[in-house]
Amino acid sequence: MNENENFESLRRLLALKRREIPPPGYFNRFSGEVIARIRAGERESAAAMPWFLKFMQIFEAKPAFASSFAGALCLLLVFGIVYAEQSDQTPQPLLQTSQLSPEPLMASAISATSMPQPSEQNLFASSISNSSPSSLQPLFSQNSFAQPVSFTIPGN
Amino acid sequence: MIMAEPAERTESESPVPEHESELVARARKGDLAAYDELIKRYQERIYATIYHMTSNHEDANDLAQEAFLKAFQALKSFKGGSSFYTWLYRIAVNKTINFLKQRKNRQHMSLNDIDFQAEHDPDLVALVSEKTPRRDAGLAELQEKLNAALLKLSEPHRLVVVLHDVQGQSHEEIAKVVGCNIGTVRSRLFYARQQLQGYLADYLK
Repeated sequence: MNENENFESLRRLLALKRREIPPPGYFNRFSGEVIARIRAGERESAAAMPWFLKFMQIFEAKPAFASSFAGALCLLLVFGIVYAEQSDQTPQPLLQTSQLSPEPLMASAISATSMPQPSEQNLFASSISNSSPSSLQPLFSQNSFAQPVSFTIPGN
Repeated sequence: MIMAEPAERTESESPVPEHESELVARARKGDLAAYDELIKRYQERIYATIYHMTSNHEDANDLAQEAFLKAFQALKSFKGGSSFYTWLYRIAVNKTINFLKQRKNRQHMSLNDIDFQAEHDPDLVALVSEKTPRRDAGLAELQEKLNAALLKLSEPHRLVVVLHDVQGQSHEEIAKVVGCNIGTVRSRLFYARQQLQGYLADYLK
């Protein structure tokens, strides 16, 4: 006698469970209710979604758009780097002219600071403070003026 | 009642049922009509399993809806390693077991009506009129005792009995749904039946 025969009466009793049926028309409505809940959930999530998530959803739906957007970003980055390097190089002609004679540099320093009748020392100070560190070195190497300074300390 | 022979139908009137994988693929893209078709295919089996586990129609309705909802949301993660049906079943079973763990101390039965034809089922008639010591026990009383006995089982044991003896699934199918080996399914089934026999001894003599 196998295990099924041992439990035959129980199995027949359990068959009663198969006879339990939900209210009439229940399964006709069921799928419609689930679909309605899915739609409601989608509407809610779309309303509550931050703008950047909505933006990211465009990429999920269209991978080609995502890759072209990434390509455009890369191009923009490269262009930015090239442009930044070019703009770094533009002060050089100014340096070269200042190396030849100090007068044009002074003139430009005067116009930059717009100080009325500045002294020679003030001009230097303003040109040093306004110029970039890279343009200071050739200035000092060729036109370095040393002026002795004497400090009088009170009480000595 | 014998139905009249239906008139010959054209192909457009009786579309060939779409394959499950095609419906799943369409549903994954957000096609709700395809998902509606999938729901209609499996709603009765999913609902019945949950109902037999909870013995409560309202809970079974909520859990079945939530299972289909969760399945739709998780459809993108469905790799197709198992059939959609097995995957859906697993979601429904996990949801039900989690729910039963939470409501452990407040079990309330809300039983469905018994099919009218059950009164003519010879097996059930025999159980009520001959095997039952209390001859006045009707089907409704038997149904209540049976459900109460099932609720006394632990969830893993109840699940195996429901899937095998009520739903008629094979040991292999149950092992896939539950996520254990066939030996475990067999041993759980044996233990659960023994327990039930003890609880329902009065109705099985």
